[in-house]
Amino acid sequence: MLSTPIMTGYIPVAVAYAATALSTGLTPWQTVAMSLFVYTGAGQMAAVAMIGQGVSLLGITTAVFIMNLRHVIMSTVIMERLRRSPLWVRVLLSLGVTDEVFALETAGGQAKGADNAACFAGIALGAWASWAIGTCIGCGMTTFLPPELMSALGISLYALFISILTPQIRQHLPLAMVVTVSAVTSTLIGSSQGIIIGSLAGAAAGMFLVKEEDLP
Amino acid sequence: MNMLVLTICLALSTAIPRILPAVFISRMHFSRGARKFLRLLPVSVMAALIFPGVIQSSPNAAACLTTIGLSVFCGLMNWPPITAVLASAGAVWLLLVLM
Repeated sequence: MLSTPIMTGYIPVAVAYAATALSTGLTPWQTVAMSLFVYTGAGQMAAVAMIGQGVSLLGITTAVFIMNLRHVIMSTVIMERLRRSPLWVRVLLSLGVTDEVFALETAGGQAKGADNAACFAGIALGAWASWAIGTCIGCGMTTFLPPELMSALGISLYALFISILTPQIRQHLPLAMVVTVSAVTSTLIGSSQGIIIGSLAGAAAGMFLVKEEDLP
Repeated sequence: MNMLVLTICLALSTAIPRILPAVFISRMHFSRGARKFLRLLPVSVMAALIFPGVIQSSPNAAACLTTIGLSVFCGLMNWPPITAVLASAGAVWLLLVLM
C-alpha cells in the first residue's frame, strides 16, 4: 500500500483532532462530519481553535479558505499528471489532495507506464479513510477520559501546532521570522481579523526574508 | 454557531481550491512569487493561530509555558505530534489537579 506512511501519520493526528474538537464542545457526529467532508488537517484544527475562541462563522471560513489556497498549487501539479483522465475523474480525485498526499505523490515520482489516476486514487483514498478512522478512534477514546483531562486537552491543540511548526523552523531557520511577524501581528490585533491579517503579514514578510530554498 | 452551516462553508472552502485546477488545468499559470506566497501561508496561519490561542486557552501562565516548552521540545526531537499533545495535556492536567 502506497499510502501506508500517510496512514500511520494521520491516525494519531486525527485522534488528537477528535480529542480537542470534543473538548471544545463539538459532538462526536460534528467532529466526524468535519473529517469526512472538510478533510483538511490544519484547517480543521484551526477551525476548532477558532470555535473555541468564539470567532464568527465568516471569520473561520475566511481563515480556513486562506490556509487552503496552497492546495491550488498542489492540485495544479497533480492535475498536470492526470491531464489525460476524464474531467469527472479529475474533479473527484482533486478532493483528495492534501499536503502529505502531494508530498508522497511528487516525491515518489512516476513509474513508467503506470496508471497515474489509479495510483493517485489509492493513495488519496487510503489517506482519507485513515483520517476518518483516526477521528472515530479519537471520539471513542475521549468518552472514557476524566473531565479535567478533557479541559487540559483544549490546550493540546496548540501543542500540536507548535510541534508541527518547530521541525520546519529547525530545518529552515529563516521561517522563524515569518512566525514572529505572524504571531506578533495576530496577537496585537486580536480576534479573527488578527488571525487573517497576521497570516497575510507573515507570508508577505516571508516574500522578502525567506529564500526559495528555505520554503517549507 | 450553527455547526451544519459551518461544516458546509468549510467543506466548500477546502473543495474549491482543490477542484479549480482539475477543471481549468490547461489555463492555469502561477508566477514564482505567487507560488512562494502560497507555500508560506500554512506556516504563517499556524503561527497567527498559536500565540493568541495558547494564551487565551491556558488556565494559567504555568500551563501556557509548560505547553509551549514541551511541544517545542517534542518538535525539536522530531517526535510525532501526538507525543506533544499527550505530554502537554498530561502536564497541564497534573497542574490543574495539583493546584
